[in-house]
Amino acid sequence: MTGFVRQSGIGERIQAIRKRHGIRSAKDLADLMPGGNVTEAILQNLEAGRKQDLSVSQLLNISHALRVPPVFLLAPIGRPQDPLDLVNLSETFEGMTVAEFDAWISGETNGTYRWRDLTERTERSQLEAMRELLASLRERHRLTTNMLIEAQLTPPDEVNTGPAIWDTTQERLAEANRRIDQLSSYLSDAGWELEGWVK
Amino acid sequence: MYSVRVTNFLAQVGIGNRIHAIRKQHGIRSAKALAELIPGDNVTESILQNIEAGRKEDILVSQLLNIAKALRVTPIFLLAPIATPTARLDIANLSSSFEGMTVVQFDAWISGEPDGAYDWNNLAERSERTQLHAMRDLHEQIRERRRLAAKLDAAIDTGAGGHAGDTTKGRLKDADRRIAQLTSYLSSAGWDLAGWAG
Repeated sequence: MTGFVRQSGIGERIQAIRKRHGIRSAKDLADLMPGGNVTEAILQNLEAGRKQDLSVSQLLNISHALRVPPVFLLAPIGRPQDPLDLVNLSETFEGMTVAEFDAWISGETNGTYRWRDLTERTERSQLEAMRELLASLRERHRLTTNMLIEAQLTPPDEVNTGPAIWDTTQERLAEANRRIDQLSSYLSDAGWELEGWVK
Repeated sequence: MYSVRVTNFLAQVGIGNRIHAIRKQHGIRSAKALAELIPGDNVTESILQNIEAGRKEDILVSQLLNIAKALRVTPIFLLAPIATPTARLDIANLSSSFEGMTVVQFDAWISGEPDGAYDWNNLAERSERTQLHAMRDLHEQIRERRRLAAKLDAAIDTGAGGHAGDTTKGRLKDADRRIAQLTSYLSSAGWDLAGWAG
């Protein structure tokens, strides 16, 4: 089986993913981008390889319509050790593999891409902190809901006052809150605007 | 209580302002100096000046990648004001399907995070992203295997085998098993892993 993730060239990948997602024609795909800047003709040119470099908004519009992260269009993700096949890249990309490119685009800390200097790492650790903050907020929301349910389901005379043998929801909630405080204070100090988000 | 807050250079509105702020932050004095970090004629000094001044808002994908690489940041830092996670996107010419998408959702979409802020709608979408994750996991496992193998060698060299050696062996076996699993999953999905996970 040839994976649709292995096509070389951005046009071939767009076409393969479009077909795999059951979108019959370039026109049908163009119709999925209301108010966008990608017409049927542009798509035909891309798919035929006549147009190889596209604008950022076109890339984002097409990948959103195809419901894949943009990296699926930018690189043959199914061939991780291959070199990139994008046009007009400067020679600083020479030797970069698909796997390294993916790590770079997604800002993975432990990925294949080597982040060289400290600034680079500081910025990326802020990105990581934001992602972890999001996960902690979600966890807090889940635990808060659990606590309400537990309180409703436990008759007053069965409330356990002795030491618990496992971490209670309450303890885990406190832990989530502590982590949220830590992360939001770290990000706020770095100048992040978290108002209306961490509440 | 009043506290002094720095304005984060990752909070600028508009791709031109973000490029300008990150360039300054990284000590690259002029658009010309940045252009010189991008060999070839894809991004020239005058193109950079137009982008930074906001006269050119929609740039080519190759230009985005070249500039981000030269600035040593992941492209998301240029695409969105990442330090304002709940702000709306400010990218020119997006189709209306992006309406209401916030910066944090955009980040989750770009990076393909499974538990991020972006809701992946359908199954196809999810199975593709699972493959992407399997690839990242595979990479980590290969790295782990290399680390453990080196550790085991060292333990044998120093004759400090015994218990420590056994644990490393056990973990090495785990890594091997996971690598085999992931490789077979990806191969059956049509991935070409020759020369990578061998």
